[in-house]
Amino acid sequence: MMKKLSRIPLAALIACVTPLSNIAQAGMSNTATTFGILPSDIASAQSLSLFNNQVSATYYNPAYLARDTRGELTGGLFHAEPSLEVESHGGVNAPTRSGDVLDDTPSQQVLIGMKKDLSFLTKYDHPIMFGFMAGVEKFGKEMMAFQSSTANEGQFFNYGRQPLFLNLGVGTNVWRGIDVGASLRITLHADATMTTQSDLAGNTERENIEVAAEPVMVPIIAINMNAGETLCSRSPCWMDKLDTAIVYKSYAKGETNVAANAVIPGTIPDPGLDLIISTISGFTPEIITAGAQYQFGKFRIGATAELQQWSRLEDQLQKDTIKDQSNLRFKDIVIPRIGVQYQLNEALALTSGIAFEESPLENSNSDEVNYLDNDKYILGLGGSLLLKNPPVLAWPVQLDFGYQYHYLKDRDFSLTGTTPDNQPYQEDVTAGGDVHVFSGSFTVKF
Amino acid sequence: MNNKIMKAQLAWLLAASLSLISCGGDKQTVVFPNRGGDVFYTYPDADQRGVSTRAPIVVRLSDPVADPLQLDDSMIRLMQGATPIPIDISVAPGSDDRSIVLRPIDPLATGATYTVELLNLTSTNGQITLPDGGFSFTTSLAAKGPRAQQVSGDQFSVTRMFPDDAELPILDFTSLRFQFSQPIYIASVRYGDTVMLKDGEDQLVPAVVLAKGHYLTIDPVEDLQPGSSYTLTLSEQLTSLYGASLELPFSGSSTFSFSPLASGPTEVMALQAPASGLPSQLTGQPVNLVPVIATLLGEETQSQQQGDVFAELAFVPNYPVATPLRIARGSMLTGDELVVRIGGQIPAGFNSGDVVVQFISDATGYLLPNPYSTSPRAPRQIRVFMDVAITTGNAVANSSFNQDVLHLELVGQAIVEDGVLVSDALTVVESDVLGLETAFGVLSFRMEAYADQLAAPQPAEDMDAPFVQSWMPDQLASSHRPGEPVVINFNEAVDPVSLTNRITISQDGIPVVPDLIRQDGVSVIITLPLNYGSDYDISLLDGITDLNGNSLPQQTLSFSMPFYAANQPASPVALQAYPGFPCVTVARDLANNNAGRCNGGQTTDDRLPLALMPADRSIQVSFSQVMDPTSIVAGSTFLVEEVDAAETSIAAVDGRLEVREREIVFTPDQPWSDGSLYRYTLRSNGNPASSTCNPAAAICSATGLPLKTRVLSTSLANTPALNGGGQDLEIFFRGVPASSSVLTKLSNLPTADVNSNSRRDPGEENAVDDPEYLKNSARITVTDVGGQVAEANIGCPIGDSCPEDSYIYATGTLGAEVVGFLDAGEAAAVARSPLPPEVASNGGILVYLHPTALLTSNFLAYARTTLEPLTTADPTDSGELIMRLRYQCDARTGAAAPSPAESAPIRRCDPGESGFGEGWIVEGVDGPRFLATLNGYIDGPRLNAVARVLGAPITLAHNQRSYGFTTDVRGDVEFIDDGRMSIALATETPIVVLVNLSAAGVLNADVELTLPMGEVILNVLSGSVKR
Repeated sequence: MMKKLSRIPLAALIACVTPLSNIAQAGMSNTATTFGILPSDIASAQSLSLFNNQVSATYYNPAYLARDTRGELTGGLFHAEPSLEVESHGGVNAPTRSGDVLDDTPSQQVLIGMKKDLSFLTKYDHPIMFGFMAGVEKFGKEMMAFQSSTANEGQFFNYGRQPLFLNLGVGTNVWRGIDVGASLRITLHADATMTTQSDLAGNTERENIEVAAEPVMVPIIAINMNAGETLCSRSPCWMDKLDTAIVYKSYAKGETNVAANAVIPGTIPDPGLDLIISTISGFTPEIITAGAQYQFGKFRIGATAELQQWSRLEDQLQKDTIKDQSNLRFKDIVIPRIGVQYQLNEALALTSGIAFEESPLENSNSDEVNYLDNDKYILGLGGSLLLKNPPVLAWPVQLDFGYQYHYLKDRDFSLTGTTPDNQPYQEDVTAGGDVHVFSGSFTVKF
Repeated sequence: MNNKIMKAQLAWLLAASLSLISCGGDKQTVVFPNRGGDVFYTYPDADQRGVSTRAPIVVRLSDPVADPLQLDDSMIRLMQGATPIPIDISVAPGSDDRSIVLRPIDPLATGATYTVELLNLTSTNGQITLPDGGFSFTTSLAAKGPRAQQVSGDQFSVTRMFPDDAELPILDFTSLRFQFSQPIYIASVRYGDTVMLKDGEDQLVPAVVLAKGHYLTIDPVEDLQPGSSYTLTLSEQLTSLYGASLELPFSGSSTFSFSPLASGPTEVMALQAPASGLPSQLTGQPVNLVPVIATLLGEETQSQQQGDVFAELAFVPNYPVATPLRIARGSMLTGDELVVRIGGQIPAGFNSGDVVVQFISDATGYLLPNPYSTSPRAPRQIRVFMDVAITTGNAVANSSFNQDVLHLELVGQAIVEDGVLVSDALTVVESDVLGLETAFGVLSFRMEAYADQLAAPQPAEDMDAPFVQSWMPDQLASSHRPGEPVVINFNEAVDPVSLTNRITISQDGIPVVPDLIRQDGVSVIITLPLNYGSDYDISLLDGITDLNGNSLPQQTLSFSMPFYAANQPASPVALQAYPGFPCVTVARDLANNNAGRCNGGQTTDDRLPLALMPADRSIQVSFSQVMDPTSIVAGSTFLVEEVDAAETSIAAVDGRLEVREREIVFTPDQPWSDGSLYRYTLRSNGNPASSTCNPAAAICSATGLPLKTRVLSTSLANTPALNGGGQDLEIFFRGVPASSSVLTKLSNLPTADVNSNSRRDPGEENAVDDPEYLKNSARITVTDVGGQVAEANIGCPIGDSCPEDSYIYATGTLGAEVVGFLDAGEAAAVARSPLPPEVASNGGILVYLHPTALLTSNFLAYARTTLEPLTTADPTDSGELIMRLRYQCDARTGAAAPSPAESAPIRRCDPGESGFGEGWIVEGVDGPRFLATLNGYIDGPRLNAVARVLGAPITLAHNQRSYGFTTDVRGDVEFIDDGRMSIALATETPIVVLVNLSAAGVLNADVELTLPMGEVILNVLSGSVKR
C-alpha cells in the first residue's frame, strides 16, 4: 500500500515537470519580475522584496543589502508550472483544438546567491555589502533559454523558459538609517554569423560560424530609509519600525542577432543571400518600485507599488524581424503588492502576499505573432525556518519555502495569420489559465 | 514508527495533490484545417494569350484526382462562351493521378477565348476550386489564311509587351518582345527607322531585331546599362501585312522610355534537358520529345531533344518575387534525327540528321509565385519567351524544315526536388513543313539543374565556321523563273547583325539592289526581280558570322537565268487556277454543281465539277508569263464575288491580293462560307484575236500582252491568236469546311519552252543536246500511216534524221493535294479509280491531282501521200497541243450521256464529289515513288494540215479535238538539297494518237503517232520552301 501511494505522486511529478510539448515557449519575462527570486520573494508576491535582507536584495533593493552585514550563501530550486489555456470560439480556417492547455512549459531554475561584507578589503570599518544572485534554467542545464517566433496557435507573452538571471551589486549605509545600493543586472546579447557555400540540397562547403555572447549590464539603483533612524532625534521612536525604499531598475533586454550568408553556386553568386534575424529574446521594462513596511510586533507588513514601463517595448519590437509586422502596442502598468510576514517564533516565520498585475499588452490581435496575455492575480505563501545550531554546519542555516499562484483572468483575443498550409485564418479565442510556482532555498548565514 | 509512516504518507499526499493541481488540464493539440485540394499548375496559364489552337489543356492538382477513371465533363469542361467544346479527358500517366489533360477533339478556333471550368472536381484532399470557377485563355491568331483568322482587330496595334516593365521588370539583360493584332509587314521593320532603341545620348543601340508573323523581338547585342535611360520607338511607319499603320502603342505615344534594372551579379545555372524517356508529370508524354504532327509527316515523326541549358539568373535576393532569367543567344539543344516519312509511313529517302534548336535571341524568363496556390508545397511558375531557329544536319531536311519560331512561350512549374531545381514546362511548337503546312507538337520540356553546379558542364564553345549548305537555284538554274527567290541555306543560324550590308548582288556584272533580304532559320531569302538570260552573282562578303562569331568564308554564288526567246511573244495563260479549271466555261449549272465545259471545246466534253474550296484557303492562279503587276488589281481586273446559282453577284469578297511575277494569291478577309457560291474573275481584253492590253482594264503580261483565256477552238479559224486575249476568265466554286489535306503547286520545270509560247524558237534548248530537257518533253514517233498517207516523219522531211525536232516540250503547273497515308483497306474504300497494285497491297499516300491544262510546243510533221505527185502534203505544223487532264467524273445532270467522237465518256459525279484525279505515293526500292493514271484530252487547235491537189492548197480537217488518252505514269519522288520536291513522271504505257485528216470526204489521211513508253516525262517541281 505504501509503495502504491508513493508511486502516484512520483508519476504525477514526473508528468508535471516534463514538458509535454516540444514547443519550448519563452515569453517576455524573467524570473525576478514575474515570480520572485527566492522563496521569500515568491511567498510575499514580491510585496516584501524591497525589505528582504536575503541575497535577492541584490536585484530588488541593493541598498537593503546593508541592513544585514552577515554573509550569506544561498542555493535553491525553482519550479514554475504554468497551465495556460486557450479556448477557441471558431473563425475562418480556425484550427481544431483538443485539450485545454496550450502551453505548460515550465521554468525550472537552480538559484545561487551570495552576499558578503567587503569592508575587510578597505581601510575603513564601514560595511559594504556585496551581493551576487544567479538563476539558471533547466536546473542549471540551460544558460540561454529563449524562443522567438511567430505562432499560429497563439503564444503567451509571459511564462515559459527564462533566460539566465545574473545580478550583482553592493549596498551600504550612508547616513542615519539611509542606505544606498546599486547593482548590475547582466543580460546577454548574442550574435551569430555564418557564411557558407551551399547547394540547393543544403550541402555546405566553406562554412564559417562565429558566435559571440556579449554581456550587457543594466543598472539598478536603490535607496531605503529607516524613518526612525533618519528622522527621529531619539530612540525609541514609532518610526523606528517604518522602512521605506525606492528602487529604479533600468530596462533590460536580451537580444539575439543571427546573420547568415549563403552563396549558392548556380543560383546566387557572391555576395550571396543574406538571412538576417534580429529578435528580442527577453525584455524587462524600466521599473520604479516604491514601498514601505512596518513592523507590528511579530507582524511585518509591507506594500509596494511598481511602475513597469512596457511602452518602450513597442519601439524595440519594431526592430525585431520576427515580430515587427504585428504592430504590438504596450502600456505602462502599476502593480500593487501587499504582503505580511508573521514571526511565529525565533525559528519559524510565515509569509504571504498578494498582487494584481495588469497586462501591459494592449492588442487583442497581433498578426502572426499572436501574443496572449492576461491580467492576473498573484497569491504567495511561504515559510522560513532558521536553524541557529544546525547539525554539521558551524553557522546558522535558513530554510525557505515559497509557493505562488497566478490566476489569469480570461481575456478575448483574435488570432490571425496564415496556417501551416499558408491559408489566411482568423480565430476568436479566450485565453486564461493559472500558474503554480514552487521554490525552496537553503541559506547559510555567516 | 507508525507516526513517522503517517507523516511520510501525508507528505507524499500533499506533494501529489500539489502536483496534480499544478498539472491543470489536458495539453492542447492544435490542428489547423487542411487547405483541401489546390490547382498547382495549368497550361495554358490563366489569361494566357497566344495559345496554340492545338494546345492540350493541362490542370495539375496538389493531390491525386479522387477517381481518375470517372473523370468526365461534369467535373471539368472546356467552354467557348456558353458552348461546351468536345474534349477527351484523361489523367496523364506518370503524374501520380495529379495532372488532368483535356484534348479538344478539333483544333480550337483562332483568336478565341476559352474557359476551363471546374465544376465538381475532387481530389483525395478535397474539392478543387478556383476563383470564378475556372480560368480562361485566348488562342493565337493564325499565321496563314483568311484575314479574320490573322487579326484580332481592324487596328494594327501592340497587344502585348513582354516584359511589361510593371509586374515583370525590364533588366539590363532583357530582350523586348512585342505582339501585334495583325501580322507585321516584314519589309516595314527597319531598325533605326521604324524600330529604334536609343540610349540616353540618342544613339541607336545595336540590337538583333527579329520579326515574323505577329511577333517582334528586339535583343540588344550588349547588355544595357542599368539605371540609364533608354527610349524605344515603334513608329507609325511600321505597317501590317494588311497595310494598316501601327496605332500609337505606348499610351498614345510611339515611344517608350525605361531604365533597366541591374541584373547583377548574375549567376549561371546549368540545367540539363534529359532524354530520359520518362513521362512528363504534366502531360504523361515523354519529356523533351518533340512530336511533329502534320499531314505530310504523319503523326509518328518526333525528335528527342536533349542538352544543357544555361540559365543566367538575376541576383535573386534583389528579385525575390519575380526573378528574371536569361538564356543567352547562341544556346542550343540537340535532338535525335527525325526519321522523315511522308505521311508518317513512306520513307522520304532522307533523314533529318541531328535536329538542333538554337536560341537566336536572348530568351527572357521569370520565376514567379505560383498563380493558383499559396500552399508551401506549390511550385513556382516559370515563364520563358524564346526565339529559336530549328535546324537539321541533313541538307535536304535543313532546307525543308529549318525556320525561326518566335515567341515560343514556355509555361511551367519549378521546384527544388531532392536538392535539385527541376522545371517542367509546356509549349506547343508550330513549325512549317516544306513551307506547305503547319505542323504542331506539344513539347513537355523538362530541365533539371545539375546538383553540383561547380562541377556542371560549361557551355560548349562553338569554334566551327558556318558554311553554305545549299542554295537555290544552284544547279537548277534552268528551272528558275522570275518571281522565285534566291535562298541560301547555311548549316547554322547566322548573326543577322553581321548580314547587314554584307550580301551584294550583281546582274551581268552590274550591282543591283534586291527588293528584300530577310532571314528565317538558317535561310537567307533574297527577293529581287530576275531577268531571263541574265547572269547573277550573289557575293557573301567577309564578316558574316554565326551566332558565336565564327566567320563565314567570303564566297560568291553564281547562276544564269535560262534564255528566253522573245521573237514570238505569247500571251500569258493561266496554267493553273485554284480552285477550278483554268478556262472560260460555258454550259454551267451551278445549282447542280456543274461548272460547265471549257469554251472552245467540244460540246460533248466532260462537264467540270464545281470546285469545292476549303474555308481557309487562298485563290491561286499561275501564269505562263511574267505579269504586269500594275494590271492586276483587286476589285478591278481581279474580282472575287459571292454569287447565287444564277451567277448573279451578291457581294464582293474583300481580301488580300498578292501579286507576284507569275502568280497571284488572293486570301479572303473572311473564310469562305460553307455552301456559298463564289466567282473569281480575271479580266482580259475581250478579244482572242487582239494583242491589245490596257493594264487599267485587263490583266496583262509584263510585255503588254493580254491574258489569254481560251486556248481551245472548234476550228482553225476560231483559234485564238498566239498573242491574243479573250473574254474574262470566270471561275466558280463553292465554299466547304476547312480541310486537313495539304495543297501544293507543282510546276513542269525545267522545260525547253522557256518562253511558254508553245513554239520551238531559235536558241531554245532541246532534249537531245541537253538531256536535262528530257524533263517535260515527249518524243513523237510515227508508228503507222493510213489512207492516202504513204509515209510520214516528225521534225524533218522524210528520209532525214532530226531527233532533236521530234520532241515537244510542256509548260504547265499542277495542283496536288496530299491527303495522307491510307492503308490498303482505306485506300480501296476511298479511291474512285482502280488502285495501283502496290497501293492495293500496302496502301499509300493519296494525292489528289487537280485537273488542269498543259501546253506543249509544236512539232512539224512531214508526209508523203500515196497520190503524189497529184496530191502532196505540206509540212504540217501541229501548233500548240493542249493536254487537258480530265476529272474523274462528269458533272452534268439530267442530260443523256454524251457520245464523244474521240474519247470515252466518264461516269457521273456523286453528290459532293470533287472529281480530282488520284495519285499515290508508295515506297519504292530507292525511295518514294509516285503513281497515277492520267486521263486526258489532247487538243491541237492550231493544227493546220494542208494538202495540195495539183498545187492547190486544201486545208484538212482533223480529229485532234478532245482526243482522249489514258496512260499510267510513275516516277521517283526526290527531295532536292534546297528543300524542293521533284517528281519525274514517265509514262508506263505508250500514248497512241491516231490523227485523222480529211477533206470533203475525199481526202483521208491517217497518221498514227506514238509517244513511246517512258518517253513522255513530266517533271514537276515544287516551289521554294521559303519566300
